[in-house]
Amino acid sequence: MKIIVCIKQVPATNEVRLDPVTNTIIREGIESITNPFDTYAIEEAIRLKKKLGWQTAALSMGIPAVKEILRDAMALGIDEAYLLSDRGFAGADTLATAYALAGGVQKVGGAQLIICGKMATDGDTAQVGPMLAEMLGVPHITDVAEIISIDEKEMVCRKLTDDGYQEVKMQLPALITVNKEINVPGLPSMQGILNTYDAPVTTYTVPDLDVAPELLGLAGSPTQVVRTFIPNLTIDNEWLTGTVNQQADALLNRLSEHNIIEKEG
Amino acid sequence: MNLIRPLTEDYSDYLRDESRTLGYADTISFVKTEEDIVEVVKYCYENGILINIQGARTGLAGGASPLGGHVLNVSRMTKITGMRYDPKADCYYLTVQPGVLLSQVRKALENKAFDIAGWSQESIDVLSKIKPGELFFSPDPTETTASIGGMAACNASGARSFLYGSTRVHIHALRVVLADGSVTVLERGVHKAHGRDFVLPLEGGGEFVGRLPDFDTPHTKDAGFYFRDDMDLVDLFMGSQGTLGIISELEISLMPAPKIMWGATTFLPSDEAGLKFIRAVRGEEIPGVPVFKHKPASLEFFNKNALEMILKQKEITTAFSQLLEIPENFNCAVYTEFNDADPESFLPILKELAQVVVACDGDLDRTWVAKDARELEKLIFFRHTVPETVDMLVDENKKNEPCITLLSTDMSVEDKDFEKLYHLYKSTLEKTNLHWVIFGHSGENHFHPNIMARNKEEFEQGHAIFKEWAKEVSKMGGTITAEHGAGKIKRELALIMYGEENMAKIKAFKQTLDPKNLLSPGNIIS
Repeated sequence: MKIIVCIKQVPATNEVRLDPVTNTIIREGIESITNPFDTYAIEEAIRLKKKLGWQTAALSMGIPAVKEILRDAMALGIDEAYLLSDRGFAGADTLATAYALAGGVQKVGGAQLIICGKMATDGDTAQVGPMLAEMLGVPHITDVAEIISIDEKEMVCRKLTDDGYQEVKMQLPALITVNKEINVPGLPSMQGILNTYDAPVTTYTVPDLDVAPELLGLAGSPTQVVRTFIPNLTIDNEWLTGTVNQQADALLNRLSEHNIIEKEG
Repeated sequence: MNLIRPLTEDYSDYLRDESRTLGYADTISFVKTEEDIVEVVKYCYENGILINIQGARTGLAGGASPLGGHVLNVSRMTKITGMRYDPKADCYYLTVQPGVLLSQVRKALENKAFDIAGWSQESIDVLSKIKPGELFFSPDPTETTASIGGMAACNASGARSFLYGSTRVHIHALRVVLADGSVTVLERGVHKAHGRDFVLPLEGGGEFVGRLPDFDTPHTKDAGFYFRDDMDLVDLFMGSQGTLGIISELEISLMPAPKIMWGATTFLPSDEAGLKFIRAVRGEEIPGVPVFKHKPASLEFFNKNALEMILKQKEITTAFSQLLEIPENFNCAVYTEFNDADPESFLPILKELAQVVVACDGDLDRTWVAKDARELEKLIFFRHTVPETVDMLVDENKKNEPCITLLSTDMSVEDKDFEKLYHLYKSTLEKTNLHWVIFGHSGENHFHPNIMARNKEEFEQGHAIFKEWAKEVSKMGGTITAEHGAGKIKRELALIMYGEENMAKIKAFKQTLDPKNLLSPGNIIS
């Protein structure tokens, strides 16, 4: 039995700065980290490994430097790591990413359970997890806050919804995406780091996978980014002065001017 | 006098500080400039009104809690007013008002985000040459909302003082308003005593001629007064907790930020193993342990009670829900942090540290490692949870018995008496039914035993224990407060440390600078 955790390297900030001329993200001086939601996915996989004795693997797609975060996952206790790295994967949107990851999952022999973070902090789409499940033909539950029970055949999860929580049962193999309620991600142990700082990370290129190259990378991405910009959020403050009654009158006038309340008389 | 207003119910928060000491006062002012301070001080001087000085009120010894008269609050003096580079010393300096918070300085340096309104062109030019995160102000009292003025006044130290020294050494220059409203400007290395004689130059001409008490204050890194031959006069106002003057501006020295900050928390099977590990990581030669050659930035100890206390509080306090899960069967833990200029130093130092862990009966699987500043926040959060929890418990206990305050000590001894001090604390506390923990800065031999008194009897028992310890520590040649200042809570202990004779000399000395005895009543001096 195997658990695969899909992880992504993201910039270590959510205050993204854009180059005013090119409208591309300024990456200079910003270090890269494991997507914070993925750290919960890694932790949950390690907990399940301890509980069920299943094998664990981490899978990512990106440049060779992504090996660093895969080794971090191994230092935490993940058994193996795989990286999909090839120019052919570059420029992928969520659909092409999910397609590549599906190829990766199949390449390593599939999994009984795939765990993804709820979303990546650099894109905030939350699409890749569910798309990957669809492509693999397995059921999925998103926004999982707790795994209530799990065995080789089925699992019961408590998932967060807009209106509260739901308990959902599904058959395995399956995929879940997890949120920050599910656990407290730990730190690697000293032994873990000493064991894995130069551990091998298996890298696959496009020809290694059983995939259609035209469905990968930029070519396989139906999403086109026309323009990226920071929304202009300005809030005007106005100080109301005068006596309490004058201020109250002024406030009433402003609120009715903006149709927030109807002024009587 | 527009600045001075009655201290009504609305301002009752300003009667207390983080130590949970409740004071009393008639009036309060929120000064914004040095001119404001001078105006208030002159008024008080003329009318013989006591002046209590407040910054961010995060102190743990009651230094900011008033004892009658007027509260002069500098928490609205929050401007960083300029930057300077001295090519000779190859050092950058930042000029700040006393109410500027440590967190504010850190954030401004990290993001290179300064409000430069009112800055001189020279300052702006210097700023333009630095990069975000390049410079760093090392003092790190646990509370980052401490004000720089307050940190200087009590000569605060923190976990990283082990490597960088306490606040004192990072304050380069000062502007100080004296008791009569005159202002002196002092720079380290420039304005020094000659033997015991000194001169404070006054703005607008004139000078104050004085003579230091004829004894050296104990210990070099202690809070409290600092008297030495030929001393820097800046140091007169470091640690003296507002008793000699009011700091109206500070120039703080900055240093190149370390390129890597990482740390490890290791769980050890016994207190003996914990203390041995601390000695080993300090670089001491211990039979059977490889000599460790890298000086940590900090070395923090947690005894079993402290770990059990936060485990329990984690169940109750949602803010602690993301606290790391402690391995089972722990006895104590030691946090070690490294700051280094070479980002590649992590792995080699980690390998050497691992050997020390094993040689001290530690377990590499039960040692957490945070390999960068981001991960380090988790370990620092874990460390900070201990005093935070103590505060919560004290607040809870205070509801039943209002006289209860924080009962925490920060005594410190020389390296040779390290174990002796720890066992003095532990053996005394084990004989009682008190609720207690021991944690803190083991690198510099100052643990923080904390007693969470549940009633008046326990509170008094705690105080009596502290007095006994103060006597023992004084006998060992240590200091009764290495970090928080004596303030009001520990002035009795200060008396034990200085002795009656020297305390009388301190009083007489204060009288020369503050003839009406108006400044910071109740701080240090009894």
